[in-house]
Amino acid sequence: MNKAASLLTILLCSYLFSSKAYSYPHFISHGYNSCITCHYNPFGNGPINDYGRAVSGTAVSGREFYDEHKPEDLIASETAFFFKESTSKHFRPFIGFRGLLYKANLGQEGSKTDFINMQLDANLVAKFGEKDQWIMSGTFGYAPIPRALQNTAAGDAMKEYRTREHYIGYRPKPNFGIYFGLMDKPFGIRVVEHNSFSRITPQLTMDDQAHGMILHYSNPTFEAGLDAFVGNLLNKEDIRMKGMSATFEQTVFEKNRIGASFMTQKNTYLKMLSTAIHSRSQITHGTSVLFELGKVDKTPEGASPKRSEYYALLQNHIRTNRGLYFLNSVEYYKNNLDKNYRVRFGPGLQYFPFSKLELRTDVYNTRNFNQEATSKDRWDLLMQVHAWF
Amino acid sequence: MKKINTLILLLSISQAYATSDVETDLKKMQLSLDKNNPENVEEIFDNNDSALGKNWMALERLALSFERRNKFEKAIDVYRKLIVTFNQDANKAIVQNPKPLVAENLYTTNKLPYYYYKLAFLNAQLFVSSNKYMPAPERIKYKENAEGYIGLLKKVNADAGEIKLIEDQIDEKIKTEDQLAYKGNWYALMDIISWQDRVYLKNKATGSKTNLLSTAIGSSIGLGRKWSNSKYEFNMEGMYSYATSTINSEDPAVNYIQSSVPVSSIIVGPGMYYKVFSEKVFVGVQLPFSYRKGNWTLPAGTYEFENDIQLGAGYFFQVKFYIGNIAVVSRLGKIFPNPASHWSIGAVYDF
Repeated sequence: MNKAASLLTILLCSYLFSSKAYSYPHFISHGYNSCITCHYNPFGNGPINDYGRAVSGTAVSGREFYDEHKPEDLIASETAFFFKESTSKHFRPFIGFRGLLYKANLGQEGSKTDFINMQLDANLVAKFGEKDQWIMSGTFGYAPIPRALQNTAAGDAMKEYRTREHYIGYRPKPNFGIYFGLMDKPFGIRVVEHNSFSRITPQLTMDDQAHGMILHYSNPTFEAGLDAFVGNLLNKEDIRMKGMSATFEQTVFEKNRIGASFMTQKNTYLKMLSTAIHSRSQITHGTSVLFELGKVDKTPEGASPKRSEYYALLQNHIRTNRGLYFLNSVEYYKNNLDKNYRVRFGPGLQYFPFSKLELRTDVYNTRNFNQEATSKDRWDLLMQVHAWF
Repeated sequence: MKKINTLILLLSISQAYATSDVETDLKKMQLSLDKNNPENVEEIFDNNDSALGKNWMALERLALSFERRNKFEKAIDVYRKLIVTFNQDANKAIVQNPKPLVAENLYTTNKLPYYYYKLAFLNAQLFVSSNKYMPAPERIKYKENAEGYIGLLKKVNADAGEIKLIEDQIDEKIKTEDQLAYKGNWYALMDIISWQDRVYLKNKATGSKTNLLSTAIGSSIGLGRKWSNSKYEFNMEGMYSYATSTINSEDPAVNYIQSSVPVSSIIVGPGMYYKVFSEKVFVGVQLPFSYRKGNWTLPAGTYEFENDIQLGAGYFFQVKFYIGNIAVVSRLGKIFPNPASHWSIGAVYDF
């Protein structure tokens, strides 16, 4: 296996086995432009709010497992924590699980199958104030040590049971909020696939949250966020990524959003400058296209040369019927230090048979383009089960 | 004189009897319609057709009975008879007068607007219920008749809402047929395309063969003709691709590598898309047949290539979605005997 293929394998292994509660930016196809409609976190991820639960049971999930006469509002009411609407105005518990069956290098010698428990989280959201202006969210649970960090000092320092999100938020007005805590950095399209080049390259994967302060502003046609962060305080000082990020999205032609993002961050070993532009479009009800194009400059401390990495993502979601989506992704990655670049095709199926359950199958065909050597394509199969209560 | 008187008396009695017979039949016909037994109306009419055929009230009831039993063609014949027999002069005046007439007067003087409406409605029903098994001239006749009577209805200033209902039915039928009819048009496409080739390097002296693997990426342009309706699209297209490839030996013992080698291919073949999810989103398959030629260089010595020119065939799964007149299309599949997938992503422009 040549150098490029080895690098690709490491990258894939590092990032495939990871998860949190994700956001689904492709639901712009259902008319949901902004994450805050369904999530407590204004940029998605983490637990979903009461409305988001209802949407997950009605607009998103299928009806095949329900009696045809069952009213939608009854289905919506059963999407609450353990099927029972909360009597408390202030507290919302949430439990999430993701498991992955991963078969790497399909059809090749040495291909093996793994099942990975990617996530088992418990979360509690507390909200106070007349209009729930005050929000506190804390998530704690199991998350595997990333394979790239296993048997390293950084990996040894990590705990398998840890928190990956906790914050306090205050929204004095519906269109403005300020949040303090450990959160994902707002940048680009927060796609569900943490193995996507658009998440790997700017280092926005499963353990890249940072403590900081996020300002969020939104109105029906515009949304923006600004994050000043000091790294994950649970990590050692030298590896904490400190910096700031900013992102915005503007609605154009009613059903499309275009945006741009900027992020600068550094720790003792690495300085990064990331920029991206993106768009999200509803083609028709249930069908969307996401596009992101980005550049990340990575300057290691010391004598190592600066590296510029480029990525592109084109992702198409097609709702075949209620609850079932066909996915079609094309990704591109390149860096300036070698002449390699790679393209990945990823058809997949995403099925929400009913609220609280998501089943997903993806096939990735990755091809490496190299002026110095040619290598066989890589095929990977990923099957996920995602349950939440 | 006595004989004449007797004859007159007999005729008078006969006429009175006949009149009373028609009146009785009319009552029976109306009763049958009221009790929703329209088939009885025709039976009553047939039993006394010579007298009832001259009575416009009987004919109207007969037409209604046909209408209620969906015998629209027979109902049309009866309404026409009503116009020709009882309203010919007024009908001529309306047909020949290019200007709209005042409806109120017409309603009070004759029943033409009512008959026009019935004829427009019935012809429209026949057109709407027609299908591909009905001869085209007949279908066109019903449509044109309906439109003709709609024109007359407008002339007599009939109720605009009622006219619109009929027009909407015709329009809907035309629209549905239009959607199901296959329409052909040309399209152009431009792709980024990539595939892998298996080429063999043969030593003519020893007869040994080495597997070479080539990865190609380039662009392609093409032209196609498609036939599509609201559900399906069938196409036939041809594409020319020009790519550069990197090729090397898969055997570590053989040192052979070249990069930026031109490779070109021609791909033709039929395909289809299914539009079940949306008018703008297409999912389908393509059956490509390819001719490919690579300009790889032979190493010094007694070597030759096998498979540097190749004919192949395979399949693509394809997805495209439209943004205006342009569609983004992506394809993933395989062309045999290539060792790996063949993919492309690009744009289609419909002329």
